[in-house]
Amino acid sequence: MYNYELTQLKSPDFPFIIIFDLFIGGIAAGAFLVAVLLLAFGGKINKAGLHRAYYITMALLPVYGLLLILKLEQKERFVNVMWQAREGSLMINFQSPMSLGAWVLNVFIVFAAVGFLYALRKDGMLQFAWAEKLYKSAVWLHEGPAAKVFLSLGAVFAGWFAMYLGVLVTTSHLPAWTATPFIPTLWAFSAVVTGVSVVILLLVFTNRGSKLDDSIHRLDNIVKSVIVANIAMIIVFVLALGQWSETVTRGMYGALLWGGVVGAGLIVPLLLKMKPKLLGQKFTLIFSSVLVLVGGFILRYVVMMGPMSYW
Amino acid sequence: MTQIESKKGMFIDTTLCHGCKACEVACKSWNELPANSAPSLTGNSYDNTGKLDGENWRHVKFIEDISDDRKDSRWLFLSDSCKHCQLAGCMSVCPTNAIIRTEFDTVYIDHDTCIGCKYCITGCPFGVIEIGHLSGTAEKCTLCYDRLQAGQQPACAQACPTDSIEFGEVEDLVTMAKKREQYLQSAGYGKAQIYGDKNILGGLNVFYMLEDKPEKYGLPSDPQMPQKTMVGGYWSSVFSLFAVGLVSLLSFRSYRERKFKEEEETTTGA
Repeated sequence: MYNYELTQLKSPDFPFIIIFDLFIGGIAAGAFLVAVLLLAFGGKINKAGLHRAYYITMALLPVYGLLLILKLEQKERFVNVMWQAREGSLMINFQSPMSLGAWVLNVFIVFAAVGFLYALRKDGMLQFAWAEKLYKSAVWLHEGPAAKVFLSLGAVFAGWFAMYLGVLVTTSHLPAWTATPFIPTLWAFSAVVTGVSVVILLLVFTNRGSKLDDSIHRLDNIVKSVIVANIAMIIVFVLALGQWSETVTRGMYGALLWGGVVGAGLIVPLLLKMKPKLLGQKFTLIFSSVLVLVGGFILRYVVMMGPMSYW
Repeated sequence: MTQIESKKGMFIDTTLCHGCKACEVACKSWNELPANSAPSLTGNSYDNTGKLDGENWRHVKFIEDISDDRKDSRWLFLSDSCKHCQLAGCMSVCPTNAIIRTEFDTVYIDHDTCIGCKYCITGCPFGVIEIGHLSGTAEKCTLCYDRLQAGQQPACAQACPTDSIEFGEVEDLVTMAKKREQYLQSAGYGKAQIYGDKNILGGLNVFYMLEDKPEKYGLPSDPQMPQKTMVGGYWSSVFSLFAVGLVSLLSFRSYRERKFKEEEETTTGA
């Protein structure tokens, strides 16, 4: 018969590309978030290489934007999200997390660009004379008297960007997405754990001598802590889903969630990180980081595709 | 902002509907919607349309209502479509303002502005909208906007042979519905009720007279706006931002302190 929740409500059937979008956006935001927090409030110790997180963010954001456009049915009209041609005005709908998210992305890109310039200056790369003032401004914003304010604002927008797609799916009628407000939290923890893992990989592969060892191990310590929080959050999320938990725990999705995300993507990397001598320190760092990334991707797949395939 | 000239809507009296599907056919014909593939069995009685979607803007539901002891049975029909809600969930989440309110106070999709993001599909509490395969944009009943502009009534209302679908000014229709409700209740239909007055999403411009509770027809008794959990989502975002920031900083600091201790011990040991 016509059961309201099961047969009347509809899945948006977002295309598979949204999983890549969420994954890439999470890494970009997570890397940036942790970098600005540590640069602002990390104390006076060696932070060598941390600024390189900005390269990751700047490299991934254009890909994110492109994927966002590719998932639209009318790709050539993407600008309508920012410009309302019918009324000739800027387009913003405060009730729509998708509309707000588009503007958050724009602001975040500005912060990412400033960070990118700062990283280039720190590494002495691509120094153009005509852009001298821009480099100096970026350094001032990072090291000047207002640095903490600027970096804190950057952290807020990075965090918002990491979570807006969580708020977006929570603001819907698909029962499994609206049963709990914890999807944004899930994205936040996963963004940090995957973002920092990519920063670790970048630092490991660009480490000349042992200059970056300290930063790498400190970042690794962050990943260990956030992995524990991430596992706890996944359990809370599944419990909070109540009667709809089977949308992410049934069949293949359940196997992927418990085996792929929690097992292979979080617990195994955590154990490896706790016993780094088992496989050798460098190999452990690389292997565990890759596992965390695979787990982060699967998590997004399960939380998005599980409920959508149910309806 | 569009100036509302008049509040047009429909009163669908399900007690008069006999499931002929003339409304479905008229809708498809007037709006030039593609025919459905060969009739298939949906498992829901004579319903072979299945659901509202990009090519089916009207859908007659067939409910074979059989009592638990199987002694009594009856047919219930409901000609379903977009309800043109006063508080329209689809409209509220649209990121491009492609979903607008017309001068007739109906909800209309501007196909030149729609980007096909699909967000409105899950914003609608009645599962009305879907992407049209031909247009590539969101599609739903327009209440025959083009016909209204020409002073005509929607095609479905004109085609209905039992006047189950009444078109007109919402205020007049509400008066008509209340009279009908009183009549039905006095005639022994104790559960007869109006579905879609002001307590449902601020009022539905397309509203119903039901013979039984809404759930029997697959309608929610208390539909909500999609933003019902949005605030919770934002709060959980704020919480997680603080939590993840704190965990990161503490882990960072604890590693530093541990390193210092190790270094101190090494120095002392040496």
